[in-house]
Amino acid sequence: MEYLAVNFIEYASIPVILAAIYAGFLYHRLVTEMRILSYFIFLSAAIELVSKVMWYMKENNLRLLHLYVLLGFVLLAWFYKTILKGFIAPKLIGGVTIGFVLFTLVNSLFFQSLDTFNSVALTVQAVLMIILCVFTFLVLMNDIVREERQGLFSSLNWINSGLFLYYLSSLMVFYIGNQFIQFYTSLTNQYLWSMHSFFSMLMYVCLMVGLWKSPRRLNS
Amino acid sequence: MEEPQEIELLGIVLPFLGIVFLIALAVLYLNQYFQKQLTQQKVTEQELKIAQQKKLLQTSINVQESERKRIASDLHDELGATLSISRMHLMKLEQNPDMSAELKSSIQNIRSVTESALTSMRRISHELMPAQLASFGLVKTLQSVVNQVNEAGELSLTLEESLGESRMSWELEVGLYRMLMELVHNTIKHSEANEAHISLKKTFNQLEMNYTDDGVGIISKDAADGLGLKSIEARANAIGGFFQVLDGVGFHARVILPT
Repeated sequence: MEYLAVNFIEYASIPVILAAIYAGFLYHRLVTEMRILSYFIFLSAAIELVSKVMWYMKENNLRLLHLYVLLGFVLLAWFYKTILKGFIAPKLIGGVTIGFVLFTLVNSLFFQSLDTFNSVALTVQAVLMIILCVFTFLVLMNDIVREERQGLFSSLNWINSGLFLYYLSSLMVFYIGNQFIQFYTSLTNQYLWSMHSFFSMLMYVCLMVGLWKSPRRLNS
Repeated sequence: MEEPQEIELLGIVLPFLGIVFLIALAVLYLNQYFQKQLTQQKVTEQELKIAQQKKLLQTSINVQESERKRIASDLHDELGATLSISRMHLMKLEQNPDMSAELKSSIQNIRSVTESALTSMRRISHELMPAQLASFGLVKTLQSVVNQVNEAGELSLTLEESLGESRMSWELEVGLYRMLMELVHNTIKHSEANEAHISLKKTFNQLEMNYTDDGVGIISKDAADGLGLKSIEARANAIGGFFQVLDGVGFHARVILPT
């Protein structure tokens, strides 16, 4: 069990890199919505690679997490804004994004410094993402929307499911994990993080399937 | 000993429940907006569909009318002229003193058939598109129709109008003329009425036409469908107006059209 937990954390970066390679391979044939998602995958892969390098160099890579939370949310909010166009108040996602950017900046500068784990920003990000994911599921269940987004429907379902599972598990890890920190051992901590890695791997697999099932441009 | 742990647990669970509640509230709000947008979208789509159907109907009626006009004009100018010339030649032949009585009788028969064809052709041409509608307008044409119906003696038809010499768009004049012809035809054919009345009133932006007769009225729904009332309604709608059959003794129909 301990071996499995360690392995999940070790190999968590593989699906991210694979997803980025696949997104890069498909990029010119992807529709606008999927291109925006590709930016998120590229960002994830870049952050993952740089953090690995920093980890091998024994440098604190938590600063990257602060950057990843901020930029990741901006890109995902852009993605959701594009796919939910016409079904959500136009300025809502923009407003929430600006609010979140300001919040994370204030949080990183004044409350949870760049060298510490930004659990508050991560929790808020997870809550916002869960709201967007659940709402997207509701939207995708509607027959009219299904007809309108026919080509993208299956792809969006995979992507949304992946993001939903990941951010739900993140909420558990970042919020509940922090609350119970006094009760568990380092092994429990490792199990918790391996669970998080597992859901992260699952998310990137779902994103890859989503990209695979997405419609292609006729001319790039 | 258990009390502090209980408080700690509450401190963990309650904020979490708060987060779940917040998520549910936000999703509910978004869903509410989404449903509203969807209804709005459906209404807009429906409106577009109706507008498109109306335009299609209008185009189809316009095409039909212009084709009728062309056929009526061709009949009158080409076939009418040919028949008139034939009749003229036949009359000239009849005046030949060297002709045998048998031949003269045959020529008279041919002339009679030609005259009958000429009369039929004029009637068909007039029914397709009365020439006076284009030349003199709706009121004069209707007055002529009223005279013709009254001369036939089956029905006493009256016209009351406040349009005077003013002319309307061709689309409106033809539309109203066709609707009225259909209504007069229904009265003569089905209503057993003795009197019928046409009223045309124009306000600053609309035209109201009322048609009444003292006949049996509409007996059943099937009868209503067969009376061409649907085509009258379609015509009225295509011009941007509406048609309604009102309750009361006999038959009363009203058409409101934008001018």
